[in-house]
Amino acid sequence: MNDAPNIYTVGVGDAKIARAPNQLKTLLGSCIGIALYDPIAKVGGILHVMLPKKTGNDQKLTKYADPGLPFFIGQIIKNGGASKNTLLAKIFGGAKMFETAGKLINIGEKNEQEVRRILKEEGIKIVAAKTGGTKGYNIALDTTTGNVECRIFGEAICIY
Amino acid sequence: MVISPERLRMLEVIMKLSIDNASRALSKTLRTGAKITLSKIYMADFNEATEKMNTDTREMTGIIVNFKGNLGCKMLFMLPLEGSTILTDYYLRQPVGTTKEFNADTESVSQELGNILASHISNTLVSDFNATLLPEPPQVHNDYAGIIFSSLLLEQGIYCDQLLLVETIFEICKTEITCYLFLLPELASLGKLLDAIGERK
Repeated sequence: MNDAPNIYTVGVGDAKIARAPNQLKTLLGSCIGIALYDPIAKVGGILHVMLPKKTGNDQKLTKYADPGLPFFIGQIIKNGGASKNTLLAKIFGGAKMFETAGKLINIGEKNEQEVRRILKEEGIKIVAAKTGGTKGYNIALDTTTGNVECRIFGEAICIY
Repeated sequence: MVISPERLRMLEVIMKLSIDNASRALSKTLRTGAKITLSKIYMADFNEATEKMNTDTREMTGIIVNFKGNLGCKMLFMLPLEGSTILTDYYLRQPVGTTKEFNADTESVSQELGNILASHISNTLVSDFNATLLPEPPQVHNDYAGIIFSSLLLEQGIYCDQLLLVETIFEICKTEITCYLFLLPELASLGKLLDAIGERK
């Protein structure tokens, strides 16, 4: 939990929570970035998931949509003071990136499907989504407004 | 996995040799000074490494080469988008500024530079580690620095939170181009690499 006004960067497979007036940013390729925001508590967070489901004994839950996303929702409620009833979600990324090993084709699409399934199950509304394509996403969540500034490589900035 | 400071030092010496060879070959090809300096070799935490690179939102050209063989690894040469047009001019022996944007020539030259770097780096590793290394055709991709870097690490990041990263600073004489060159041994190779230079911890 970060309190000083600042811009915090979220790494791959990681999550961060911040309160207004802080900003959170991350870069996304095939990963999905889930920006959760509570407009009443003015608290937000970004979860950067790499894979749809956890299979092994990996302790790093935030790498995976399942169980990382339910864990992240719990954290933003418990540590950030957000309420599940007022939490809104915006999702980005899931691009079909270039192969570096030949095994990661369409992982972005699977990540997105799993994220949408979990958010529906948790009863959290997706109010904006920009996913797919073949280029990276640069997103920044402003926890004062809940706006997410999104720039896809080579394209103009859009606000969601 | 823990690597002792002594083993890291040995790896550093060998990596420095391979990078020096690549540096010389590139200088010859471009007919200008190309200096690649080993910045550091270290065990990096996956989250921390990607978080650091995610702060670099410059638009870059990334050239990734996969090496197959018993010491499989990946190489990423990444330079600012405008730097790739300058290198194209050097490579094609034309005045700097002739190439205005990333085009088919720039892509070919980037692939060629990737081949040159990959072959000289692998030659040294092959002779020092008695390894087999087969570079695959380079893949060229334009995107944010953090995205290209993450794509390189992604597969290993799935299986392990620690990565051995070789980080270099790459400067081309008479230009302002500062690039990144990363080498990332695969998990299975890392054990073999450490065995080759002595006992593992």
